[in-house]
Amino acid sequence: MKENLSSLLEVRNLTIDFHTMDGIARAINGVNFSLFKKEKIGIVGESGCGKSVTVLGIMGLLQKPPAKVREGQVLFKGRDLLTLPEREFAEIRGSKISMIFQNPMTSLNPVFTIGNQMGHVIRIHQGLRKKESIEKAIELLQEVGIPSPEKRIDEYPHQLSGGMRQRVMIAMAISCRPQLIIADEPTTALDVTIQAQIIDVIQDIIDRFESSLILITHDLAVVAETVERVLVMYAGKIVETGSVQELFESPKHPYTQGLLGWITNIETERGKLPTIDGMVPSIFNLPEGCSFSNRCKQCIPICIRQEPPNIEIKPGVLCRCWLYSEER
Amino acid sequence: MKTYIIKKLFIAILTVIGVITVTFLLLYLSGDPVATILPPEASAADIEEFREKMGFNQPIIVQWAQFFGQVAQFDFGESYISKQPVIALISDRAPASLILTAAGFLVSIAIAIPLGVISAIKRFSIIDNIVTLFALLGQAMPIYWLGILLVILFGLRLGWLPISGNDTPKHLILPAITLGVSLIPIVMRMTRSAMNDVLEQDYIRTAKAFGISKASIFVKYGLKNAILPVIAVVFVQAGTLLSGAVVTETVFAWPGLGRLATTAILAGDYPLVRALVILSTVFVVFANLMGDILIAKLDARIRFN
Repeated sequence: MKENLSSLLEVRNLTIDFHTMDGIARAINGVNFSLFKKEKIGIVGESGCGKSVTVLGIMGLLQKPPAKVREGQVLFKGRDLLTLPEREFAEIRGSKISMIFQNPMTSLNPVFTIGNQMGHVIRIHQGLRKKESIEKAIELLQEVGIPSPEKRIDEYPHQLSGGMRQRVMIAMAISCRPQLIIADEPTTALDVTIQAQIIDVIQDIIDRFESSLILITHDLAVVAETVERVLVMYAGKIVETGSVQELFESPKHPYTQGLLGWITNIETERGKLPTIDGMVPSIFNLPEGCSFSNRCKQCIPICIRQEPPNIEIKPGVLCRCWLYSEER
Repeated sequence: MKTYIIKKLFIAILTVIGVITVTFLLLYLSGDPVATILPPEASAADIEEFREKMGFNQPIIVQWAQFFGQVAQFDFGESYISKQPVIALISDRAPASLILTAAGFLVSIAIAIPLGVISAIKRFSIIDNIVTLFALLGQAMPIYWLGILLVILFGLRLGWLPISGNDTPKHLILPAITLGVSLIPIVMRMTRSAMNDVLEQDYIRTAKAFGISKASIFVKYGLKNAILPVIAVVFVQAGTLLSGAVVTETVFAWPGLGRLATTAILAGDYPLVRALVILSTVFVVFANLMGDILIAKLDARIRFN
């Protein structure tokens, strides 16, 4: 009950399909999680597991069609965003919840200056005048560590490096002091040397503005140093939830164990890198039982027949696996 | 920006020089001008004297240089038929043509771009299908046929609009629509596909993620990007507009360069034809240059190379 009071975002049974020429792709299959105020969570999983679709669904940014939210609720401070009229939702986007995207090279509009784009966002949410909005934008660029922002403000995106563009995106994202920032693989498209800087900037602003953070990444090192709690996704479902410490020290789900095997074994073993054998099942044709059963080394008969329940192993640690169930 | 314009200007000038040369060569190859100009009963001595006088017995390179020098001074010689200087005939008719071309251009832009945008926003909807069908019809319809249909409907049946001449602004309406419609399909389809493309870009999603309204996204964020390839296409179509003007002017007895060209070609008035060909090309080259500059003005990536 106490948790409910301070929860900022609650995603309940979110289920998203894509209606394509090849049939219906079940991209997200009943995702549940909640996020508390000032909490930082990470969503990890391999490409195509539904991390991005989940957050795009939360933000209402999926192209419909082909996407279709079949079921579920996204409660932001108690209000369901999915049933909100478009105008009211637009007011929340960029002001209460803002998003940082994966590819800074293409995420800024090439025909407008930085000041133009940032100024527009600031004006529509804060009702400032043009001159004030540009001054505000310069301040924000300063906050994310862009040198000589008063010059940068009149430049076009193509004149900035990838790292600088991502800083601009971050500056734009924090322009209205959002309560929630969603970062969808903010460092994937950047140079390794820049990645650490961008993560530092994000961490710094989250702490300063006391926002909550959803960080999507497949970089486990970034997860370990940035967030407090991790959701592991596989084939459109959250298969494990737990604190960072719990997850790294004792991963519960065989998939998580496999994922972590990639990093832990590198230090001790030489030769071939460990992998998880087999292929992710097609989201056009998900198996009846556990989606991971075909690759799981600890698979037992029930895994193939029936979907595993979400089991609370200890407070705050959830795992969708039959191995932890007494009913098996 | 300056270097960009200078570069484009240089290319434009080269193109014009090339066109003048080709025009000269075509005329040179098209036979002995003396045979056309002098009456058939002219004596051999007369012909020789005339050749000498006109410079037709000079080496080709000298003739080319002379021709070039004349063109550079806008000296296109005299019309065989009316015996007036060609440049006077042209400057007499040019304003009417410019007005018609500009009006046709505006009509097509004013209709095609909004239709293209709507069709892209409502992709695969009934509106999109109707607009596409309309574009298909427009493209399949010969311009003179449309002109005649308009004359029959609005001129003869309804009697709303005058059908020939250019005495009042009202006279401009039917020719401008006829000419405009010929350009609508390509501009509309280009706008639609460019807009479709732009609306799928990441920066449009960014705009949406920051709460920017749909209207702003479509017009400000979308169209400013989508208009760039449209401009490129529209200005290349300057030639189509010009040839459309020839037909339109003939249908509506519009006293412009197009009709001048038609009569000159039919009468074999070579100096006039030559001048019209050269000036048309210069117009097209100039229009392309304008398009390039406009694109650079709108797109910083080109402006800064």
